[in-house]
Amino acid sequence: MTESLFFIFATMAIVSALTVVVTRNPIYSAVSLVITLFSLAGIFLLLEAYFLAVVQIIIYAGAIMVLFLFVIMLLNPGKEAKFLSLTDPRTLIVTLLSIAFIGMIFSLVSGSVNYIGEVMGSVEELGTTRNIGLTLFTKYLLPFEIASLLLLVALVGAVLMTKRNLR
Amino acid sequence: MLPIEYYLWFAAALFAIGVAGVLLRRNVIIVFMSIELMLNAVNVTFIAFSRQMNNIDGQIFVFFVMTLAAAEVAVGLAIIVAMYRNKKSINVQDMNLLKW
Amino acid sequence: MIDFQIVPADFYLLLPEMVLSVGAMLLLFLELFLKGNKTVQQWTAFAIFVVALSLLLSQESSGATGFGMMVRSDLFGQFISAVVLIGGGLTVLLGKEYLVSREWHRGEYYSLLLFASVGMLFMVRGLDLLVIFLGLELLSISLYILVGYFRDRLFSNEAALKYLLLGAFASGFLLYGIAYTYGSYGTTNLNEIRTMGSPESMTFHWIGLSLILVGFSFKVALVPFHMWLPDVYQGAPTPVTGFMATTTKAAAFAAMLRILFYGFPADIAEWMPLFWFLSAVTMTVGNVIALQQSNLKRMLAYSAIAHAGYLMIGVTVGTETGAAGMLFYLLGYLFMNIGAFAVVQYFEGKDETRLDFESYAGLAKKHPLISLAMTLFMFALAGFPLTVGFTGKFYIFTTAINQGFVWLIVIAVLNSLISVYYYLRVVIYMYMKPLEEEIEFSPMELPAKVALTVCVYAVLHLGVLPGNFITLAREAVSAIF
Repeated sequence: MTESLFFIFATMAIVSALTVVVTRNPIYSAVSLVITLFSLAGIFLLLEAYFLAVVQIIIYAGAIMVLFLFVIMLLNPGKEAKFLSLTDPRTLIVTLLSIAFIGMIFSLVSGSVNYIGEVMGSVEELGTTRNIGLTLFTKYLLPFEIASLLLLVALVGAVLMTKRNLR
Repeated sequence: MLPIEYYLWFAAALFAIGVAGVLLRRNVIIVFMSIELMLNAVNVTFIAFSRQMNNIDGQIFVFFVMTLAAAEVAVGLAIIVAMYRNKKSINVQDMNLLKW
Repeated sequence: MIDFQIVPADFYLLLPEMVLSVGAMLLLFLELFLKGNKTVQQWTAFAIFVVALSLLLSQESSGATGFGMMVRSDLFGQFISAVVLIGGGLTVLLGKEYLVSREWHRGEYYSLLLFASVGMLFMVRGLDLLVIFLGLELLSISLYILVGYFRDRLFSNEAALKYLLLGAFASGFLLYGIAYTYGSYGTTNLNEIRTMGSPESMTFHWIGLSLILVGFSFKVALVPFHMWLPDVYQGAPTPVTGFMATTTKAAAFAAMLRILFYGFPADIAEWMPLFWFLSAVTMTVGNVIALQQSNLKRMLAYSAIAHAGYLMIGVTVGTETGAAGMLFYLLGYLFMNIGAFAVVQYFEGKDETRLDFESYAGLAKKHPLISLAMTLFMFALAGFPLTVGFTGKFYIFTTAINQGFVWLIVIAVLNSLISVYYYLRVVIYMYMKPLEEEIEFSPMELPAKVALTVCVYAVLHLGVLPGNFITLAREAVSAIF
């Protein structure tokens, strides 16, 4: 059951991720990215990261993607004049390098099986909201505060960059 | 249950697709989405390790990566909007004042 | 179930960061209520930097950790944090006229400088990869905005966008590396990694460390990951460029040193050939391209790349003295480079047209003092004796020679010789060429004068009497070994 679900989600994620990179129309890319993010939420569930799966959908697929779509609609950039072509040496080199990178990680990771065995049996409470909350507000209190500064800076920056009549 | 390698392979593929997108595409918004793909690949890696070791720290890290992604996207899109007001183009190849 | 307590001592440890962030928010409020009063804004920002610096220096540097080993207060962190805060204070003093003349003087500018400094402090004092990473991102996001601060100028927009895209790209690699490190050690805490010694999985350890190094190579702009830097330095407002070139470099190198030397001490020797190569290539490429530049800001940008190469010698050597040399050089680099950018900013005029060598022709006659200061900074960057550029380089180079890195130092010395050509070109234009056109520059305001004097004094003092500071740097470095 888990195996087949993993393969379904993984295939969906990879195919739609490829679509993000190869389609010409930014709207199609954005929609494909939403599909990738949803499939990833499924994979998070398989890994028993329940809280993160929900956050993935609410924040990533919800908030962040809406921001993307909003900007695409606002600017209406249209299609690229010069598009990916397989005859372009740049495209070929980058594609080959990416495949080489995947191959490298594949072979390296497979070589270290003595350490990675089966994913351990069910640990029901690993990724629950309770567990995440307990860890986040004790051990990780300081990073949590830094993250709040990060968001404040982003807020100030977005206003500073786009508000009309600032001067 | 599946061995963890499957998850790591999957994450590596996703990461490589993201890197290729950043290097190949000229539309800034799509370059941005490719960076999101890279960050998501990282998240899968973290969660897989977290599950493997039955250790919550990796999941907390993912939580912060998501925060970062939100902040980066907000600032990035704001800069794109500011640039569009001056230039009416958001293609990397049109950015020619400075040598790209 | 989780034994974790936060005691007042934890907050005491973070007082500088707290003062800086509260101060940054205060400046956002001041912008609302004191719209026109630029002097108050400038002095408030400066006072916040001074208070944070004095709090930082008054702390004990015993190596105490806080917030469950998230941060560590040691002399190493203190040294680089002090460099960052001094740089921030000088930038505040120098920036006002530049912003006022472009009608872009706003409280957010100071606020973002403060936030960037908070980020850098967390980077250099953090003991957990998560804190270092969040500090790096706080710094980066503040800088993306500061680089694009003149939002109605296309130059500024493009620079900000390039910086953001490549910065985020680099963060992706860094994070992927941290993920694999987590996978091999089961923790992201450098202290635990250090005590653990050997990883559970060597493969993951290698993947993780190499990806982290790729990420940091982007951030400190080592060749071949340097291509963003000249464009960003050129497009950013000049005071921001000075701030970035000095403090950010110090913080990024410090974080890299802490991760490598404190977290993974066993790996330094194994990675030496790679560091050697990166160092040699970075300084050579930086210097050779700097030769061909006609724009002063771009020239200084390539010179910054070359200096990253010199600093990498310290990592290549991999001993305490090597790292101490880096720390001392970063301190000296702060003053010479902020000073150089301050002069560039003064002469560049309102519309950024006066950035080429020709516009410096004959300036020495009309502005003898500022030209003299510029000459000093150029000499220091080139590494002439009696300046900190010489003592810093001398210290790093001799350490490397003692450890047997003769060829690397041959390359470095040849590079320094090449660099003399383009640094002296500025001086030659100022002193030897006739004045081309009469341009009135408004006289420098008092704060900027003070800052420039401090830079001149520090370059000379550290050049002539470096003893105390070198001792301090050595003590500081022993905290991470």
